[in-house]
Amino acid sequence: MAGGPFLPSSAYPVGTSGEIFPNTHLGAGAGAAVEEEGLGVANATDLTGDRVWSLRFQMPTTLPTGTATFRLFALAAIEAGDLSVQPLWASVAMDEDPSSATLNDETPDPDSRTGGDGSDGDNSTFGWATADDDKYIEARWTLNADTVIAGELIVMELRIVDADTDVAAVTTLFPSVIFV
Amino acid sequence: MAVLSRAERKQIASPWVQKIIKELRQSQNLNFTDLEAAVQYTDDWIDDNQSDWSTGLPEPFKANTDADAKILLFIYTAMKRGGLL
Repeated sequence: MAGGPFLPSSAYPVGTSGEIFPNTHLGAGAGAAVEEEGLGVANATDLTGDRVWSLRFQMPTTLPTGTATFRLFALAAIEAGDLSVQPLWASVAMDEDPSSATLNDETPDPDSRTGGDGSDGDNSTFGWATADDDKYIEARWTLNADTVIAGELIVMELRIVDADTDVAAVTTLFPSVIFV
Repeated sequence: MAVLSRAERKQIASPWVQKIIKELRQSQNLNFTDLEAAVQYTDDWIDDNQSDWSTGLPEPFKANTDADAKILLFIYTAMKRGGLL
């Protein structure tokens, strides 16, 4: 049976203050619950280099059936621009040092997208166009750069690639691991 | 000034994004690539016209101010026109 989502047990912004930070997205809609807290990334004019969210996901002692998948969705108050996100990860067991793990690259081109206008080949994971403001945009990567193992932790560097990011608004990211 | 670097164009575009896109929620259909071209055009225009402008400044202002002071006059005038002063 498919399962998840497994949310990060740790999420730490690495790098220059003001370029990557915990953030609350405020939607402009008329709903009663417009705030959503996630992983913030500065707008492209304020990014001065690649930045990283350091993440951990605790896997259960028995994995669900299905394909392990990294699911990331994003929110931004904008109708243009691209955000490039590159997940690198490894499965780390108990009695191993997560800070020494060699992380494996899934590349900024996800295996599937829902919403937005991002496209493969130009390293734009997420793309915003007309009427995409304040809407969820999703990207999914099959986690096949390493092997997900029951009872271990997924150690992930979620890298924001400055050179391929030109979205002129703060973006807020929401990561999880699911089995589909 | 020579053609601006990407970092310099970001420094110029950043406060514009904060004011126009974030605070006023206008021009949300522009990305940084679009802004870069406009920033560079504006800087090129200043570069092309600064000599004529400086030459045309009236005395005694012109003779009693250095380049930095002349630039500040230009900036303050532009800020007033933009409602920032």
